[in-house]
Amino acid sequence: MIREMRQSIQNEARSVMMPDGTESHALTVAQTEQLAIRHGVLTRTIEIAALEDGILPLRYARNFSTFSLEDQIRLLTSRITVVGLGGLGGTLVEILGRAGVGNMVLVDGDIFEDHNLNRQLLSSHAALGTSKARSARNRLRAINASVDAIIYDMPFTPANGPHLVDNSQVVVDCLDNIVTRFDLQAVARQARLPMVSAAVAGVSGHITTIYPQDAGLALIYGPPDALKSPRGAETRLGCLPQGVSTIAAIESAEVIKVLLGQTESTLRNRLLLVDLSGNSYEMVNLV
Amino acid sequence: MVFIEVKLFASLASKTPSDSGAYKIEPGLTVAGLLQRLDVPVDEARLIFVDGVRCRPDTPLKGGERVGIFPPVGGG
Repeated sequence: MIREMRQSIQNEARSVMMPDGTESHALTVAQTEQLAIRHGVLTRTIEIAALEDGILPLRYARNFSTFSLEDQIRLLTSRITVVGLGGLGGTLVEILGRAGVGNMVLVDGDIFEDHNLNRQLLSSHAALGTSKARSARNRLRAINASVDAIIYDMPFTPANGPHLVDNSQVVVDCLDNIVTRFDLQAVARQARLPMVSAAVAGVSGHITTIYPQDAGLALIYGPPDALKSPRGAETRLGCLPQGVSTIAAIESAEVIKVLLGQTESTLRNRLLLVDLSGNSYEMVNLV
Repeated sequence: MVFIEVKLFASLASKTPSDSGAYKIEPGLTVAGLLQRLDVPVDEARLIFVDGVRCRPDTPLKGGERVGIFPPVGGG
């Protein structure tokens, strides 16, 4: 069965010229879909088998050679849990879905409201009043059907958290308040998982990557029991689309680095501060 | 007297002194003392860094440092 599938992938693959002038064997999206139907498997299975044999699914062609074939396979076989599907989460899901992260657990109990439209890529006029989690799954189906999206149309809580992060390699904090971020960090720590965390106010924000043994969010916000308010400067400054999308893009880059084992390049024990108002990008050593 | 550079971010930007690039202090002024002089409430300055390293409020400044103050942000 598997040998037959691999043989048909090789038969279908066509030679293409890459932008750097090298030649590669590749599969189109249409060929991938036909092969999946013919062999009764997921398109992701076809893509992984192709990559294992050095054949490039064209939909990922521009990921190369920044990604190796092995990197792309690793992303396609990865699983992440994204908590919060608003401004940060919506943009992050879009980026990581296109990059080819193969399995996503998507958590948000909210519906889209008018005030989301300024920045949340998953929102639209037609989606107002509908579930953010369902919208995320629909978007992934539209942009990369190889991504398996498991949605939870419910808020993250410390009680359901362990189930939501089970079998994931990375927990991604795209929440909208500081207190719940601490709850998510506790769940990630308990599950011995790294967490990539980001937060925004106005056109500024920050990103960090926290491993279970790290001090984490307390280095940014102080101890959670001393928090005066669950929210921060965003209550006054709002959340602007250019700020949210910039921070979400950097957060996505962190997730990819963690998944690909590029741990030395991550923001572990460091915080990248971004403030677009003065074009400030500051790296802060947290320890 | 010595000089430091002061950078206030996000909601604190409006408290940036006009001479932030060369802000005059007496040597030994702590970061907490600096916050007081800038009229920045401690609760709005949970993240303070000196020359790119997170520091505690009791950190003394000797002059020549670059001090950054970032308020808590939690939006998404």
